[in-house]
Amino acid sequence: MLKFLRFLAVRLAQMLPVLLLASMIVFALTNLLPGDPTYAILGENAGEAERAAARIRYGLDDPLPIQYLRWLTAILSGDLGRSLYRGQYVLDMLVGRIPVTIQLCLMSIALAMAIGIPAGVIAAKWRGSVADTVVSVISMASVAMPYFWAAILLIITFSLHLGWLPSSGYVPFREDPLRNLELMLLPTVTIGTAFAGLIMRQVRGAMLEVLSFDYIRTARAKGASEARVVIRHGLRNALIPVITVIGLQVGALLGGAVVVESVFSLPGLGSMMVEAIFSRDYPAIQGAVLFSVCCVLLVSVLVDVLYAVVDPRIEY
Amino acid sequence: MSATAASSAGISPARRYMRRFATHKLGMLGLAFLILVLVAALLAPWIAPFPPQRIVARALQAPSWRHWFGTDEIGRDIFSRIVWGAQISLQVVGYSVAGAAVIGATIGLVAGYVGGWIDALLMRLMDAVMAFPFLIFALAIVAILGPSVQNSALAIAIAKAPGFARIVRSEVLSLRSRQFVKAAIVAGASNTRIILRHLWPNVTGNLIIYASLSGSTALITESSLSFLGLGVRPPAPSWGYMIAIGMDRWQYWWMSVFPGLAIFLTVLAFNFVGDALRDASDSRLNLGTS
Repeated sequence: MLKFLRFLAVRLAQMLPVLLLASMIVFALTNLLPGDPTYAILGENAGEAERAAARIRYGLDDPLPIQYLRWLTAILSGDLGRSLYRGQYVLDMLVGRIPVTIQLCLMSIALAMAIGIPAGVIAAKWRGSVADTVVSVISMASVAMPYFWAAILLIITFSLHLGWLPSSGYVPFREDPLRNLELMLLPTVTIGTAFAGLIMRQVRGAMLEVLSFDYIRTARAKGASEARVVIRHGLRNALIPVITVIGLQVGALLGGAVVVESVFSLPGLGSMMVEAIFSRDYPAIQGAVLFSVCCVLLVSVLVDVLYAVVDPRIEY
Repeated sequence: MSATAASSAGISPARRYMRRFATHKLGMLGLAFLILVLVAALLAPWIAPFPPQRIVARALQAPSWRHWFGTDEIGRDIFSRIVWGAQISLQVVGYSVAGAAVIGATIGLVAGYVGGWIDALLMRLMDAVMAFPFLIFALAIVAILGPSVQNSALAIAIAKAPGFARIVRSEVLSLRSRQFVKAAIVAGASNTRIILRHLWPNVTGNLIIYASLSGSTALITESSLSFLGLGVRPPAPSWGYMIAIGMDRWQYWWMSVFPGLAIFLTVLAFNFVGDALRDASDSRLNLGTS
């Protein structure tokens, strides 16, 4: 346990310099480049005096390193600033938006695993069969589909023609769980199926490798049932690449959420970012981007921890 | 594999590579499709039956013999717009992948060859860029620089560069310890000569594979940006933007289905070619993309 905690501490410490550099990039992105934020705060019609006052109030005239340090200290104390556009605290905006995105991501991963793992196992078990070909075709196709297009095809089919599911909108889970799931279903399918394609591919490849190992033959020789061989001996060892792929794709997942939330009008992190971009709301953009970077980095630590849970041979 | 090796003894590695690529069915299919898209882009004025911006018929007509993919919300021919849209898509893909390769390969070469604190700093910076979700990073850059073809390409190039840098760096690190590079150093070759004559040619193989797989990411990102209204400005016919317009008019499915199909097939083609290039080479490059 002590070993584990030390590993965790080291891993988190390794994350810090990257996070610091990332924060500089985020700050630089929104501050070094052209575009006067006072236009966003005050609108097009404000006079020069008003603009100057706003610059002083928001510290926009200070040297950039000073602005950066002030910004960083504020962030570390939990103050992400106020939205220039809505006047709301960015932190509050994030807190309101994040649950939607997390729910979408978790449901998508769950769906992707529910489809991807069995499909990958079947394809590997019956290599070269019709099922294998079908799985390969589906996985290639689902990976090549842009999220927004897949979303639209789903809406045209299931909302417009069949009328089974609503095409957009959001209700919090706590208010009406059933309605929430109904509204989240199409967005989940959009991201989940694309993700399932990646997982299928990984599981198939890993299973093919694992099933050729000697201990699988030993297990069979000892009279273990085929299901036990495949699932207990095979799949368990094939899960590591799956974890890796999910870990590596968190960024893609969040990127997908941006697009999918916009299509289905879900009030999540992604749609917050798109709205912030259109209104040149710098603090809101910064907050959303910074949060997504933290997510990616934290998940990469989590993945290392999960390796050890799945594979007891791995030590820290 | 052994049969190919036996029959191909005595030909250059490049020829052998091409031959192996040519036997890859999906790879050839992908290549054929990419050539088709390229031809459509280059010869758009002659191939497209109508000018892309002109109103040529009643609005929102379903696909017919005259208008293969139907007409859009103001009566422009969708097929013609898709053909012209190929120009924009391929431009963004071409510029962004080339840009990412140049930026990334330079950083990777320097980091891998020079080593030391420069290596550490450059690679931490690449790690930091890679920590950003790809689309979100591109979105942020485009949002600030303003939406346009060039800025989309630039944003994608910056976001994609770390991938190239990592591949080139790891390649250079392994090459640096090889005999022929050591021999060149002992023989007194200049750094420029070592980099250009000895390292660079050995790096290009994986670079090309990665570049062609990046084509699909670049295209999806470009069309996502356009879809969100942050890419190519209308009225230029961009595939992603065409889908966005179609989105508000569900009943007229052809408005979003056909441009989407164009993106889907082109992305698929990039992936097929990339996979085939990788299979044809001896590279064990694991890219995790596609």
